[in-house]
Amino acid sequence: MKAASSLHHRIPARCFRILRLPNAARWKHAVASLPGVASEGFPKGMPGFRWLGWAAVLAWLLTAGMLRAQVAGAMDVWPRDNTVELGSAKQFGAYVPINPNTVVWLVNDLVGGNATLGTISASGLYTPPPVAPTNNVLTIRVRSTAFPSSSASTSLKVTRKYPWLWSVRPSGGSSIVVGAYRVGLNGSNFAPDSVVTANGLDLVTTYVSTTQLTAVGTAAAAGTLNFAVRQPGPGAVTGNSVGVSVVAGVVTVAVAPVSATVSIGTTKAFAATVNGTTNVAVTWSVNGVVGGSAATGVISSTGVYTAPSVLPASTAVTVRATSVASPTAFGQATVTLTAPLPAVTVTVSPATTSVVVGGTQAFVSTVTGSANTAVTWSVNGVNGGSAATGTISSTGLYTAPASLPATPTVTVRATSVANPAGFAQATVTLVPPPPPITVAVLPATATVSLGSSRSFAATVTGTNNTAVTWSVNGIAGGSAALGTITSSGVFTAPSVMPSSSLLTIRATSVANPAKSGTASASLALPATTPGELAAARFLEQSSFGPTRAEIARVRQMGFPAYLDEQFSLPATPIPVPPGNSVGELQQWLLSTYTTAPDQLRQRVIYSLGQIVVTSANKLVYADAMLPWMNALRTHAFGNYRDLLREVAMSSSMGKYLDLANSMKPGLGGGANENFPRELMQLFTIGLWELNPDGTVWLDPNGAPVPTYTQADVMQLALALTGWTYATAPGQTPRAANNEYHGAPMETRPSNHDTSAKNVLGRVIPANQTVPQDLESVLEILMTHPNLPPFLATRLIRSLVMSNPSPGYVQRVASVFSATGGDLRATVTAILTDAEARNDTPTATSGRLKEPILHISQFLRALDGRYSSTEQLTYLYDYMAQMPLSPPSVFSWFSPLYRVPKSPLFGPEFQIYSPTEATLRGNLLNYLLGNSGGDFTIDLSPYQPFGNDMPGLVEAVNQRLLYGRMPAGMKQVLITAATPGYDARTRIETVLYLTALSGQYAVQY
Amino acid sequence: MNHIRISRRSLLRGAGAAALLSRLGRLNSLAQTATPDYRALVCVFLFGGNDGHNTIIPLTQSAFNAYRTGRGSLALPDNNGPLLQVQSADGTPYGLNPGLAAIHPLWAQGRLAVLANTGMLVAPVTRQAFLSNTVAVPTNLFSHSDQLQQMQSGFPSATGGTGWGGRTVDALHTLNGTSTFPAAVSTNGPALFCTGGIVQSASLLPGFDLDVSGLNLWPQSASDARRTGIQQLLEFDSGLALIQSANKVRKDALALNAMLRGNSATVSTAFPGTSLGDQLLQVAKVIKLRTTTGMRRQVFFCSLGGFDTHGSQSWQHWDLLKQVSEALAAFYNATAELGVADQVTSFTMSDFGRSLQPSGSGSDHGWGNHQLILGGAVLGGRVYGRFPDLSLQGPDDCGSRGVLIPSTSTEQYGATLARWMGVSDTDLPSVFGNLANFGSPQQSNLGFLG
Repeated sequence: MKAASSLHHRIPARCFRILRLPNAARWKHAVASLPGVASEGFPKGMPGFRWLGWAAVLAWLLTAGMLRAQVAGAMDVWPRDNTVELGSAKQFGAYVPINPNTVVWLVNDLVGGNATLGTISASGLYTPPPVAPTNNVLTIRVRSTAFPSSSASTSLKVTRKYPWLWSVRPSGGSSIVVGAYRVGLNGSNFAPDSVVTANGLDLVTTYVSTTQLTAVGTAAAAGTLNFAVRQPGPGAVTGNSVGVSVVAGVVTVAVAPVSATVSIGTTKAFAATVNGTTNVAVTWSVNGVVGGSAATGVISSTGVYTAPSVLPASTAVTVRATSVASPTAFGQATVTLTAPLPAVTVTVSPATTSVVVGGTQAFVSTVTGSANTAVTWSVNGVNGGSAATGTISSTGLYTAPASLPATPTVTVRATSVANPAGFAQATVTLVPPPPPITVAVLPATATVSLGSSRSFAATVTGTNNTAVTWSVNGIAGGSAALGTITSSGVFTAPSVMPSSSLLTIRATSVANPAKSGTASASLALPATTPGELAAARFLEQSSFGPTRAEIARVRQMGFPAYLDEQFSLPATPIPVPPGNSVGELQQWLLSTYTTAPDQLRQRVIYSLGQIVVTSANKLVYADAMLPWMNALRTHAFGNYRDLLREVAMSSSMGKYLDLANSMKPGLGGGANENFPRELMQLFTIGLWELNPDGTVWLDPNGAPVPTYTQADVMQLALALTGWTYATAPGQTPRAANNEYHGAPMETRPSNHDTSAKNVLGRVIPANQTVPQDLESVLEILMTHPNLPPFLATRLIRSLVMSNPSPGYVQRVASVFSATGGDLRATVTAILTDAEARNDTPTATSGRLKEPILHISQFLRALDGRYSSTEQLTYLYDYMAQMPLSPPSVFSWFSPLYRVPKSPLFGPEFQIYSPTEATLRGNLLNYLLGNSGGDFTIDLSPYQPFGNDMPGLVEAVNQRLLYGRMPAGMKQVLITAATPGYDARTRIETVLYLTALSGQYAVQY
Repeated sequence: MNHIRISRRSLLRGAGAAALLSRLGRLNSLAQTATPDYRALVCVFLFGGNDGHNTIIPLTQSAFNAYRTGRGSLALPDNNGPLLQVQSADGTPYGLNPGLAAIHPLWAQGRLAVLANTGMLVAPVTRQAFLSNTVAVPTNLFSHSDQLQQMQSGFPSATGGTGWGGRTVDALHTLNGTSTFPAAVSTNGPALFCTGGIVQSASLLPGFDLDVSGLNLWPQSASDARRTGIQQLLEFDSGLALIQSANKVRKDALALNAMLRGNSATVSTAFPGTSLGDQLLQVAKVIKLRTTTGMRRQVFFCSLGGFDTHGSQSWQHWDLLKQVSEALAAFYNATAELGVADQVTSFTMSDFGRSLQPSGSGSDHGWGNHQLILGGAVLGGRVYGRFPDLSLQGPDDCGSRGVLIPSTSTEQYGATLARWMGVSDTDLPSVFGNLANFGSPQQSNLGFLG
């Protein structure tokens, strides 16, 4: 909304480019002659004016009859006969003494030019092509549109950028010595194909950068070399030259090697290097005799020395190379002649072998023919080998490289020290390591009822020996107390619940006892067939309401098997709403709650979403909500740490609590504390130190102890700096990207605080990466003793009851701890705990149903469902539970809220005041009478009881209250329904009044 | 015991306030003590960010020149009429938007005051400190979703699950005795402002008297049987505390329904038929029921949207202020009718102020803002706080467009109101967490309620 106005102010300057006046005195009347145009811009007050091109203004002026065509003189164009370099542009102006003065610009008589010649804009701005045209002298023409026969033109030469040469620096000094030289050149506009010339001759040139080149050449004689740089090809241009003096050098000769031991009758090659002259010819002599002699050995013109066949008296001879150019200059080497080497035979064992990468192989050598049996070891010709091909010790121990080289065969050679001509070698084939032995146990988790059996299967890979041994909690074969396991993996649970209901089943490889795999077995109470009430209560806690079909299924399968089935159902996919509106997601959600087969997952997602909260109040489009929704969906039965990580990195949370573009101090807005604070207060550990049973821990003075301080928040905020939104497709990554929800957030190391942090008494080391710091934070929070009871309390309150006993909380918390935050195990512990499964309520049992559950349960009880196009979502706003739109990160209601004027917790009471209660009752009544478009219900099961009030009340008792309706209440309902006009009214009355009752409003 | 102690203390404070007021010739203390102990705050939230710059305009020549220079095409007066002249107690002239005509007379009567340039702050901040980023400021300034939440929660960050209205009555909940009638009531759906740690976030929708929809059957005997059935159902003692509590809420709803439909809730003052008029009429009805419900301290939250005037501001803003002032004037008259004019204080809040410099035919999101305070207890006819320097890039501009840096925090504003309700200095920090950043609790009394 703000951007529109600023464009307004820029327009006048832009629209005058066509006639920008290089010389005001000469050209001014080109514009001044236009009637109605103020000198600083457009006429004021043009209707609807936003951005009009100059041509449009002329058209407007023409239609307004304000201009008449006329010619007053010859056209001209400026500047004339110019050049332009690639990469720059050239502005032309035109003198147009024609009314109207509209023109077109042409390059080589093409209007506007083209991609090969370069383009020219309507305002005369010529932009060269990326590469100069082959014929690089162009004609720029301006032509009147009113009188096309009138035009003016000029030439324009397109050249490559002029290569400025600032300095030439010979290697090793300020001048060049005669002979081979190397120079470095500094300048500007150098290109990869730039060529350095010396006195006009091209040198072998190496491009370093746009300001640096190197070149090598040969200076024949003292004098001056003039260097320049040429840009070849179309538009070629040669830059300025810089002279460097060439001086004559001192001739030196060096011989290599400078000493050698040569045995009788063998040869040795020497090399001579001549510096200081271009004439590198030398003459070779031995002991001063050119070409040598039979007694001292002979040497060829190329420096190959052949020792004499008989050892001379003096075994030391001198080989000399003398410069032809400067006979006083020479270099020499000393040769020590020795008796012939003994003929040796070398063997290496093993001759061929395979070695695993990273492994070793000992080689043994034998040497015969000499008392000196020493050998030197090499790999592929390199003494001692190399990291790439493997190394070999002086004793022949070969160590293969850590990874497989490109050529997986290497040669190990043992060379005789006594006679290096004697050697033997072995061929080593390097092979990749065999796959490690792994053991996997399936199912990874299982619920086993006391006294029943469950088969586990072990899959062993990496060895042919797939045998395993089985243990329970480390005891081979298990025990009577924990349960036993057979050699084939059949686990039989004990008949009595052990102290911990969670067991570890381990299969250990016989081939490698260090390798094993585990599964978790969760012991459950015996799978007696649950009754109607038990099954219905279970479903009130684990779904969006019992249906007749689900009750039957639970009764048939028993709790453990039903849970396993729910855990294994595929997660209902979340659609991408075509309109990208949250409203579509809300419709989908309300409908899904009433219909999804994966009811347990949906219920757990719903509960987790009230702990790790975002809201459409701020995430106003569906795409911003989806990453958060999908994270909950993915990890609802996974690990809480993975859930927190994905949510933390999601753009949803990045936006909702401002982690996106949170930066280290001094950058942007600095480290944002919103997410760090809520991560601790609401998502993991809470405000007060807790006992393992969820009660608040009190210090010796009876005061609660805060879990964290503001300093912890600030330190945590520093650790979480450096995240930004993912880079949207087609965008350039920036230090702080704009909002984008198509991918998880990205890291920006430059925005990350790398100092060490102290969070909750634990140190996050300095210099960690952005993800490493996040991982450290998760580690600290996941291992904080508050997390298990904190999360257990919240999930129990959301799923089962508002006032759980401390023992219940502790049992669930211990499962969360023992499994390292496994939500599937935690949910199992919550739903199978004796306190949850106790069908006889106590005075503090139950939880008030909130609107979403109350309404969903009612629909499902009546075999009903919301349509995915329902239009009733807004009613949830009035009932204070707008789906996906809690008012704040504290969600719709606080898990710590107490029933007004009562010591009991009752979170859902926070949004249950008289208005909300009445609205909820009115919606329940509406649902009974309006089945059709937004939702459906089925009242046919009650039709047979339309005239049988006791039968009707009993049917409703069974359906809504699972047989728990007090006798007095039945009588009230019979009395209330009897005056109804027809059977339908009577049925509705009984259902309506029962739905309004506290007995149905509370899940207990 | 506790209940009595607090009542006595607040009565004593009431007497002190009355003495002060009588010195000012406004009230006699006899009338004050004769009225049953009842006080209510009524928040009128102007969603979208009310343009305070065109709500009250400084008319001293230099200030008006600065206003007109910065305001450009939006400068008042415009086609909607001349400015309504008022004077602050010190004689400084101001002009009110002509849309405020209905409450204009209340200024001269000393019932209407303006708090100048208030807004969300972490701590006092100067232009220099703001520009050099050396003092913490609220997160996500200029963002609707964050600022309307901060204004209601009273926390200068995105955190806070309760509102300062709810926390105010939390601190006073013992005064309401055993009544379970909602102490914090919104008239436009659930509002964070009303959510407390103890009290519920309750709403009462205008025109909805909590009628139970299932009781409209033919024949009448069927309806009567249902009603009787519901009442009897809610009386069953199931032995479960939560069921009893749930039934209590529905019983309260039925009782309230009867009250709202009965004569005891009739208000004869005429209210405009606008959304805000309907909401304030609903508030007046509930206040009238105070002796029946036993409530002695209540907060209310009403709201009007449409203040995000990025374009076509001139007429739109005038029209919105006209709705506000006509509804507020009717509400003030209704409190007079009910004999509680001195016990009910209405005040405005908004997401934020707006930029002085126009943008097209509207203005952009700002920060500090002027607010209206109305009621018999208000020491009106004055501008409280410090009226800002309106020069662009002046000392009160946080940038270059006349976006005001608040000189008085929302928490001081709220604390002054909460203190009048009876929240003690000791309890104020539990309602407003950052209050200490603006001085002692006494220093946070802005004085518009004595």
